[in-house]
Amino acid sequence: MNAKLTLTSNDGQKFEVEKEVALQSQMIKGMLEDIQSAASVPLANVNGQTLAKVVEYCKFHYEATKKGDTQKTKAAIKKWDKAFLNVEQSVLFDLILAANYLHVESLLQLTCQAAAKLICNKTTQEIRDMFNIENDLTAEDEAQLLSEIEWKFE
Amino acid sequence: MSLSVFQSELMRQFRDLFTSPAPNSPKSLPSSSGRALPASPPPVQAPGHARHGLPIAPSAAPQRDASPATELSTDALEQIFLRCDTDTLIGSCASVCKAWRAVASSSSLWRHRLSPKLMADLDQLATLGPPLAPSRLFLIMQGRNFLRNPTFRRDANSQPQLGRTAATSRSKYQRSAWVTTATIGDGVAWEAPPAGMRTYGTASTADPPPPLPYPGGGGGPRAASSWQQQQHLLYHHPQSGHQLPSPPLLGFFGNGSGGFGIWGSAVRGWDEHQPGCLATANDWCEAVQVVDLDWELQRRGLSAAQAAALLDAELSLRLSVHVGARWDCVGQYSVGLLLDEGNGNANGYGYGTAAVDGHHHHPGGLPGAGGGGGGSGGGGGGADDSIPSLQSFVMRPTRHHFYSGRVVCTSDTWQRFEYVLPCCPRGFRRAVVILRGRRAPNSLVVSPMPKYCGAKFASAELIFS
Repeated sequence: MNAKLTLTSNDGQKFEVEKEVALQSQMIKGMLEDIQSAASVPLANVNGQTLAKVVEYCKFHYEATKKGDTQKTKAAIKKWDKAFLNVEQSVLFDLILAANYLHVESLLQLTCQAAAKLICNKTTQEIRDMFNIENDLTAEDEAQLLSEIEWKFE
Repeated sequence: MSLSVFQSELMRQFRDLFTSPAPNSPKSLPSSSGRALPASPPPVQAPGHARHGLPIAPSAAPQRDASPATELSTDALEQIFLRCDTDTLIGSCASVCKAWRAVASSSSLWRHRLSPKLMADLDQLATLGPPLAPSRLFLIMQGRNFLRNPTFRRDANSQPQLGRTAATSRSKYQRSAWVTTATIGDGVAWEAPPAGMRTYGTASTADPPPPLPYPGGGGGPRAASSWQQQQHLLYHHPQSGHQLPSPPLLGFFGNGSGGFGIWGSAVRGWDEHQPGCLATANDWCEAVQVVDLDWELQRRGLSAAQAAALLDAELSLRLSVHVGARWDCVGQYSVGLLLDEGNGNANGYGYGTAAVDGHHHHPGGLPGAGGGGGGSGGGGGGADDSIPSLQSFVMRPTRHHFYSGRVVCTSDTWQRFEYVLPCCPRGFRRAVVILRGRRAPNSLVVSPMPKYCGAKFASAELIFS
């Protein structure tokens, strides 16, 4: 049963994948359980570039798990994952969103881990710069935050 | 956790699938798919939905102009934070912006880190004092060491307990972290880095992993420059240009107490944070640290009632220390942990922390001093000179004694000694940690015998778990 499934991103790009590959997404799986006959799935929250990455990921992992669970393939998967994550930050965040939306658990794990690594041991300002976040905390907020964690001495 | 989101999302997708040409009305759905669709769309699992669900679906629509991360939904952000270390979370992430702050202090994020008992106590604690976020409780109870100078640095050992100064310290146990109370022969040596330990195998360093830092205070000689810089960033608010008065924060964590800086990696790996160890010699030596938990908790920002409630909540307490010996010697050690009510020296352990002179002036004024009539503290002499009285050997429900017995430690490697007390005695207020070491008496004598051939202690940790 190698049925094909067409995934359509929100900018109209179509990706034809085997059904088994797409089933790694719990969201698609759930959807297909209800309509067995569906041949195309529109994904309104994922753009083409990201969907391409997700499909790439799912394809690789589908084939890797088909090969069996040996030490060698595990190492290969790790290596591949590492290379897969070698992307720009914006792509990484898009991937997180997509993984969260499509409910691909392993991809979500992988990307979140990578993002956490980015954040770790950064100062507040470094994080703001990295993510381009406006600081919308008031001075009072900051002072309050600080007074909570700096344990005052006499 | 994102199940509700996922379901609602799925449903929306679903509707789009079927109703794309028709107006979006759930009633026009074919009955075959009715199973998956509750009659009316949103009120599925209302509470969870309301919290998670808001930003996720429409996240593509608003704030399109902004950066990638601002559109990271609460859910995704939470997933990332789950994998962050706690210091970054509390120190940096919480002060990035409002949205991050909300996520970083949400209880669902801390449920996995905070021990279940503490989590359960959270509501009760909130009634006893200032409001308490789970993140803060974690930092107080589980995120910071209760032992001072946990890396056994000689230059950090004169650190008084948080909130005390040398002037207000009432005994040597308060003035300095580790106190060597009994030494025979050559006594102890403070080694940084540990002498006679070699790097083996794939280990990149011969040192044991660093312990949790002690929060510390009082400045000290090293005020990290990067620390000051961060202070500047923190206090100089970019928008208002308003300079907040700088609190006495210097050396908050950069005090050689094993801290690595709550805000960043800059401090890690600095020379003064090089771990040390306490090396014993051929004969028994003892190092003791008295931790006034009640005081400590209050200094960490809890009210007296909260501190008392936490100590009486039968939490679990974990003591761990890394033990090793030189490559050419074998050591022997024992570890003791006493928990007691901690009222001065009347209980006669000889680890009294009561005021020496206060004692003479107001013999009855000190809580518990001479209360039992049999306390040794009633007599003259300083608090530190007291000898154990018979009273102290009577086990009370507020006390806990642990003694590891004599353990042989392997040469050239660090081993972790851990003792977990699953349920602290109600009413205890103080912990006394006792470390003893010597050369294993039946071990081969090497020639020439190194002076400090006994067990070494490093990376000590006392936390609630």
